[in-house]
Amino acid sequence: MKHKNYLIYEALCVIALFVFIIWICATHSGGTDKSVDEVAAPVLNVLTQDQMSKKTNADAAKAFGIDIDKTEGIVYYANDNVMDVTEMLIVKLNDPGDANELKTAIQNRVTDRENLYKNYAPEQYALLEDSVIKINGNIVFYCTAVNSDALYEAYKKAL
Amino acid sequence: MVFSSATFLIVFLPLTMALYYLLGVVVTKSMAVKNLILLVASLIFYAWGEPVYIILMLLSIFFNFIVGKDMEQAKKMNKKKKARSLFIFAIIFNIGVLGFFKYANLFISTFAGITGLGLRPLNLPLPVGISFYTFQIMSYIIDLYNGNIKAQKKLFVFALYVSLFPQLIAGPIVKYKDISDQFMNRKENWGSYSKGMNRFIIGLSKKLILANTLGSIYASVQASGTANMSVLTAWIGIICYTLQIYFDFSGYSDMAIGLGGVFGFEFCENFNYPYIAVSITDFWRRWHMSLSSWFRDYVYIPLGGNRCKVPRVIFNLMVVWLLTGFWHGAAWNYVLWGVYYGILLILEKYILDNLVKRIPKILRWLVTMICVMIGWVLFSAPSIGEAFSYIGVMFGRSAAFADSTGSFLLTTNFALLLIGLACALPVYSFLIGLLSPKKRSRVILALTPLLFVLCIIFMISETYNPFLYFRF
Repeated sequence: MKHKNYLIYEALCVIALFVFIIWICATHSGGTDKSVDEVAAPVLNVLTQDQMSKKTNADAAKAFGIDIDKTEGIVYYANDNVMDVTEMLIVKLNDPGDANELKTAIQNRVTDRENLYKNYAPEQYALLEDSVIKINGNIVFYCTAVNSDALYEAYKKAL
Repeated sequence: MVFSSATFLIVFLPLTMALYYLLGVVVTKSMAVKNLILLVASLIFYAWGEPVYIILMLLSIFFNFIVGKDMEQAKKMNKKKKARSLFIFAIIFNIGVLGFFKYANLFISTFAGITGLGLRPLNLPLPVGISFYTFQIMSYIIDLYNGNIKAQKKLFVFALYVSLFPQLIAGPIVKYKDISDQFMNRKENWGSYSKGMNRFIIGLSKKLILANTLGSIYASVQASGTANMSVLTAWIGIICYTLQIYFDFSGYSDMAIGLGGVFGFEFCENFNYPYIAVSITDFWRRWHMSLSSWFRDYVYIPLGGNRCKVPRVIFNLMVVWLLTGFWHGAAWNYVLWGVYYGILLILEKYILDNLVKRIPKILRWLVTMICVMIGWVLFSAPSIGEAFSYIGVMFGRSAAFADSTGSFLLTTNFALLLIGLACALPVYSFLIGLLSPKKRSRVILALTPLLFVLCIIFMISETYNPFLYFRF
């Protein structure tokens, strides 16, 4: 029987796993000890608040299906004009394990709205296509806005 | 991606089915092509939510595939020590990965709390379905070591076993030995397709129509806090959650089994009307059967099962239930929930056995359901303290027995609760069983599209779409 040596592959897998763990800890871990309001404050400076208004936690729960009990805090701004899709959401979760579920819920909302606006409001559809959804530990950031990149940069600095 | 999302229903599933049937079944008739289409679809499905974690899953797949081959080779060459070392190595690798990504935060924050050290949790997002696919991989490694199966020779078939999208993120936990033949030998036909689609739509209805609606009631009860909650409100809340978690999880299992059928697979059943159970033992024979059988086969029996002296059996049971609790989540309330069931099962087995047999069946059912509902409070509460205050309210530690909130919830949701109860008990299967096979298929044929339309309406109109087992 021909003997094959698999040790090199096994060792490579273990090394790759360690590299992956180090990389993911460096790029995805952390979140923040700051409150959601502290994280949101510099983002709100960049936000064009004349176009968006502050919404309640209940509004966020309704729009995104957020279970408020699972959150430490929510900051949600949206446009009052139904023909305008711009909105910004920052949620601090009690358990980072819930972040993926929230991210999926946000993605679903974005997709639903894309389907809704695709044929009759192409500029709104373009904004939705450029939406930013990011998880940083126990914080989830989402925005659909003209200056979404600037908002995300402000958020990253605030963490 | 979850099954109850528009992306899955409108884009992913039709596209995958079209490619599978056109290229795999009609044009090439090749099992390799069919498996390849499913593998690519499964990887896209997994990568949709958190693309980086696909690297972790692929690493796990490759590592376990190689170790499996190495272990088999060592066994064939009668190198028992090497085979054993590889087995231990693989188990440590898999438990290590699961432990790090799922439990590191819990252990760091608990350790920091005890020692007072200022350690910060890693707060890594949880890789979706890691508990399910790790357990599937471990079933492969353990069965291979025990000589119950042969090592899979093709990497892409093993990758498909681990990543197969219908059961990837919420089970059922399919053991390799139960499904290995189906990767190279399965037949899709109109019967399996229509049966699968029918099962999928039933699951989707359980999730979108019942679980989400009941869940929003429990969410509003929980959000109001226990301080001013009446006994009635607390019971309505937990009854809603009891039904929600069943429809949520069994609905997802139905969708998984149904989708498996669409692609010619036969997955094991995961639920068998758990809420008709007349004892806790009976309940766990009916609830999340794939997990229970996993722990039975790979933990309880290797520990000695019940063929030992009583103290050892008690120890074995407590180990299994501690692990079951831990498997469900990285929080101490899940551990408490597991221990709670361990204690109940031990009490039932050794102390209350004779007494239980003498009690009328309806009373046994009622007591079982109350115990199950207390369990769900421990399971669903944000903390152990809040769980106990909720249980306190349920049993009278409240300002009032009934209040306007409770009465309002009861009157506005009475019909929903009745429908939920009827669907959780085998009422539908009893009624449909009364019909002749011909009439039965006509009724199913008429009901299924109706349910699907209702699901779409609920999906569009409802934004509350959490998925309870998604995070496990």
